[in-house]
Amino acid sequence: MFLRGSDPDKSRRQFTRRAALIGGLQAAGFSLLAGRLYQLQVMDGRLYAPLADDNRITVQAIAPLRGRIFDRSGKILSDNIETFQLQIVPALAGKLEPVLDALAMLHPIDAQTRAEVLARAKRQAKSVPVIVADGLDWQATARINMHAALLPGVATVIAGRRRYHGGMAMGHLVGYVGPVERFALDDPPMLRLPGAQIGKAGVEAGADVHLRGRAGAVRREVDARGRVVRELGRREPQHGGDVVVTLDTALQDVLRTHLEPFRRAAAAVIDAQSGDVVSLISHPGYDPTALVEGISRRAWQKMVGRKDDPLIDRATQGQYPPGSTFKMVTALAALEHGVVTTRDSFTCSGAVELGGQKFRCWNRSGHGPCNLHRALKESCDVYFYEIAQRVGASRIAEMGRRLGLGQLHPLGLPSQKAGVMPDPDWKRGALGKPWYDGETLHAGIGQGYVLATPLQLAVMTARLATGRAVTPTLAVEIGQQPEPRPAAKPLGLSSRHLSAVQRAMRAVVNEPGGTGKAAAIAHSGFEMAGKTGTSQVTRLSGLRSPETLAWHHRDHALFVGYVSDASGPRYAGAVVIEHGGSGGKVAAPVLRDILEDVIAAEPSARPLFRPGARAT
Amino acid sequence: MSGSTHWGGRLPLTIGQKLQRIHWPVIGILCVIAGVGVASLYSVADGSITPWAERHALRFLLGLGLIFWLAISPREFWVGFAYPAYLVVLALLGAVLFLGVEGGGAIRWLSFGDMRFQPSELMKITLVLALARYYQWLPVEDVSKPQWLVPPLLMIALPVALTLKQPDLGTAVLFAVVGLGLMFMAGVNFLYFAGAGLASVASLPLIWAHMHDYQRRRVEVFLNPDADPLGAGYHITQSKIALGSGGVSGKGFMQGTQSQLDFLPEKHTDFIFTTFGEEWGFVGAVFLLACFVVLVMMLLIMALSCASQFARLTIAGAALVVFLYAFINVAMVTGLVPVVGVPLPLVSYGGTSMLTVMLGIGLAMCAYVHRGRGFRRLDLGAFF
Repeated sequence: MFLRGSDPDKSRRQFTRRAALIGGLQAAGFSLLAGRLYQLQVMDGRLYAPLADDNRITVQAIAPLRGRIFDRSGKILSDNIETFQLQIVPALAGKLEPVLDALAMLHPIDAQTRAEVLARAKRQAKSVPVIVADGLDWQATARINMHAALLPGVATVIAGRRRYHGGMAMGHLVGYVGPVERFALDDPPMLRLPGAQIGKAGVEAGADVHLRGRAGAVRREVDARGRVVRELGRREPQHGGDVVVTLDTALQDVLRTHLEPFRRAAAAVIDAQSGDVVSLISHPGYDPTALVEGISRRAWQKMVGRKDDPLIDRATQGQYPPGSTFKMVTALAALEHGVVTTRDSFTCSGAVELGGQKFRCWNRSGHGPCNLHRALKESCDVYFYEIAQRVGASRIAEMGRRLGLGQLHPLGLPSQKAGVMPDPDWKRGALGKPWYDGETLHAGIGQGYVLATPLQLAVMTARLATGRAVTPTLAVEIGQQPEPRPAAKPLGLSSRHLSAVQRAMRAVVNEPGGTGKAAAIAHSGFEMAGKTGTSQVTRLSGLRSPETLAWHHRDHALFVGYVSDASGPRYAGAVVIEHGGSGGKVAAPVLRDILEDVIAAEPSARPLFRPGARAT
Repeated sequence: MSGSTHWGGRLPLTIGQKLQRIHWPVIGILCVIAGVGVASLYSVADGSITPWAERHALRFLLGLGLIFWLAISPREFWVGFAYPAYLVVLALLGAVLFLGVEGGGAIRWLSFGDMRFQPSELMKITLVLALARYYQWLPVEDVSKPQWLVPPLLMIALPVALTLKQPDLGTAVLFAVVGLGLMFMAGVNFLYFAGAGLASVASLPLIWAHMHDYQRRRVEVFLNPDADPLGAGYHITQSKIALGSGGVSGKGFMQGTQSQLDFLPEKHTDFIFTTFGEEWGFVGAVFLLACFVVLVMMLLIMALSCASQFARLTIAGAALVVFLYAFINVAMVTGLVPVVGVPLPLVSYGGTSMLTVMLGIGLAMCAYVHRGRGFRRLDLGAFF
C-alpha cells in the first residue's frame, strides 16, 4: 500500500473505460461534422454552385435611404436627392482595364478618375464595388444599361445624396455626414458599401443608427461575365427613421443676429417647464452644405486650424468658468446645509485673507455689510468666499450637479462636454493633487476649476426658476414608441431658500444697484430675472483696465436669466461672450434681446411637427 | 499489490532518453495541421506570406520549441505548480473584470503596455492541471463520495462564473465541459452526470432569461439565419455559400473565387475553415477533420499508457481542449452552433490560442515522457 489507500490498477482500468467512452463521443462529434459537411458541400453543393462552370452566388446589399431631419414646425433640415451611381465590381469584371475602356465610350471617364478606380480596386476586396461616377442623368444611365451585356461587373445604382436646408442657423445642430473612415469589427456590413456615409457631427451623428436604417440584400446567381442568371432571394431595405428637432429655423435665424457682432459667442435657451431646447447658437457657425458638396483641403484646414474653429458647437462643447453666475449654487448649498441663513450678513471690506493669500472682491472699496439678497444683487465676492468656506467644496459641487452642471444631458448630440464640478475627490482623480482651502473660495464664485457649458447654465437657470429637475430634450426619433415624458421631478430644495434666491435674481435685473439692469425687458406681462458673470481668464484682468489687455486675456462676459409671466417661469437661457468683458454690460443685453424675440415667437405654443410615413 | 512496479527506485531519465520517449507521430500530425494553416493563410492573403502566413509559421515553430522544452522538463515541477498556477490565473481572471480592456462588447483582455493577453486562455490549461493534481491525490475509492465532489466542482465553477461575468459564454461552456469531462474520466459515478444533464435541460429557460441581448440575438440568428442575411446572420450565410460552392473536390488552392469571404472580417481567424473548405472541397475538409481525429485519438491512447492519474488526466484534458476547440469552430462555420468566436487550433491566425494548444500538448507530452512512473505516497500531500 504505497498510494494512499488506493488501488492504482483499479483507477487505471476505470480511466480506460471512461476514456474509451469519451473518445467515442468525440469520434461521434467529428462524424456529425463530417455529415454536416457532406450535406453542405455534396448534397446542397449543387444548389450553391455551378450549373455552368464559373457561376457563383453573390450577396449584394441594397442601401437604405437615410432618414430626414425636420425642425419644430416641419421645415426639412436634411433630406436626400436620389442620383444614379455608376459602379463596377472588380471580381465580376475580370480584367478591369478593357471594361473601363468600353465604358469610356458610353460615359466620359477622365484619366484621374480612371487611375483612382484602378487604385481603389487594388486596395479593397474584389467583391466590393468601386464607384466610377456619381450623379448620372437619366439618359446616361439608360445608355449604359442598354449595353450591360458588354460591360461585365458594371451596374448603375440609385444612391441617395444628402442635402441640407437649414443653413448656418442649424449647422451645428444638424451636423453633417461623411465617408466611413475606420471600420469596427461589429459594424453592420452596409457601412462597407462604397460611398456609405455616416453622421459625423450634430444630430446626424447622435441619431445616426436611427437615421441610417438597415440594408436589404439580394442574393443572385451570376455567370462568369457577371450577368445575373437568377435571383435567389431578396430582403428589402429598411429605410432610416426621421428625426424632429425642437428648434425652429426661422427663430434661429433671428436669434443668431444677436451674437454676430462678437468674435466668439454662444447662447442656449430652453423652455423652463418642458425642457424643450428652444435655441442653441454658436458663433461663428458653418453651413453643412459646404461640407457634403465637397470642400477643398485648403478651405477645410483653414476652417479647423483656426482658434475660431466654426465646427465647434460652443453651446454644448464650449466649457467656460461660469464666474458669478455660479453664485446661486453656492448660496443654495450653504442655505440647505444650514451654515448660513437668509438674514445673516457679513461685512465686505474689498478682500479677505486666507493662509496668507489675499482673495479680492471685484469691488476694491468693498460692499460694506451684505446679506444674501444684497450679495447676489451686487455680486459681492467676499460674501461668497465666506459661505463657500463654511459649506465646503464637496457640498457646493454636489449642489451644482443637482442643478444640472457637471454632467452630460441626454440630448442626442455627440461630443457634448460635461464641464467640471470640482471637489477633493475629483482633483485627486484628475490631477493627482490634494485640495487646498483657497480653491474652495475660488469654486464658491465659479472660478478656479469650475467649468460649465452654456447649455448646462441654461438648464441650471431653468431648475432655479422652477425648483424642478428640468431635463433638456432636443431630438425626437420618429417611429420609435413615443415615450411619455413625465413632468420633471421636484429637486427637493426648501421653497423658502429657493424663493429667496429667485427674489435676489429678480433684484439683479429690476432693483437699483443690481448688476444686470441692462437685461430688464420692456414686454408688458413679462419679467426677467437673472445673474451676471464676469469670469477671469487670467490674473491680469484684475489688475489692468480691459482696454489695455490683449483680446484673449480679457474676461468672458456671461449672463443667465429666465423670463416669467403670470403663469410662472417660461424660458430660461444663458449667454457667453468670449472675452467680451463685463457680463452686466455686454452679455445681459444680448440675453434680453434673445428672450424678447423668443417671447414674441412663442415657439412652445405650437406642438412639435410629426412627419407622416415617407412615400417610397 | 502490484503498485510497486510503477514507481520509484529508478534513475532519473536523461535528456536523451526523454527525447526518445516523445510521441513523434503526434508532432508529425501537429505539423500537418499547422501546414494547412500556413497554406490557407497564404491563400486568404491573396498569395502572400505577409501579413499572416509567415508569422503563423514562426509562432508554430516557437510552439514546437515550447513542446520539446516542456517534454524534457521534470514532471514533479508541474505537479507542484498545478495549484499555485491555478490560483494565480484565477486571480488574473478576476482582475480582468476590474482592470480589463474592452473589446467587442466584452472585457476579456489584460493589457501590459503593448501586450494584451486573455487569462481565460491560460485557465483552460491550469484548470486541467489542477483537476489532474486533485485526482492524483484523492484515493480512487473516494472519488464518487459527495463531499469529495465539492472541491473539483468549485475549481470549475469559479472560472466559469468569472468568464460569464465578462461576458464570454463560449469560454465558460468550454471550461465547464473540460472540467466535467475530466471528472467523468477520473471515475465519478455515472449517475451524477445523468442527473446534472436533466437538471441543466430543465434550467434552460432560466439561462435564456439571464443572457445578454447580443448573446440572445446570436442564438436567434442561429436558429434562423436566413431571416437576416445581411445582419447578424451574415457570417453564417456567407460561410455556408462558400463551403457549398466548394463542392466535392473544391476549387483548388488559391482559386476561392467565392471571394465573398472578403466581406468576413474574421476570414483569417475564426472563419479560416471556410476558405479551406471552399478551396479543397469536401475531400479537403474531411481530411483536415481526420487530422484532428487522429490527433485527439493519439493523445487519448497516450493517456492510457500512463501509470499515474495525474499524467492520464493531463493528457486527456489536453485532448479534450483540442477537440472542443476544433469541434466548436467547425460546427460554428457550418451553422451547427451559434457564432461564439472560437478559433480552429493551429489553423486560425492568432497567438493566444496557438500558445494555449501548444502549452497543453507540451504538458501532455511531459506526462507521457514520464509515463512509466507513479508517485511515491510521501511525495504528495493534499496541497504540497
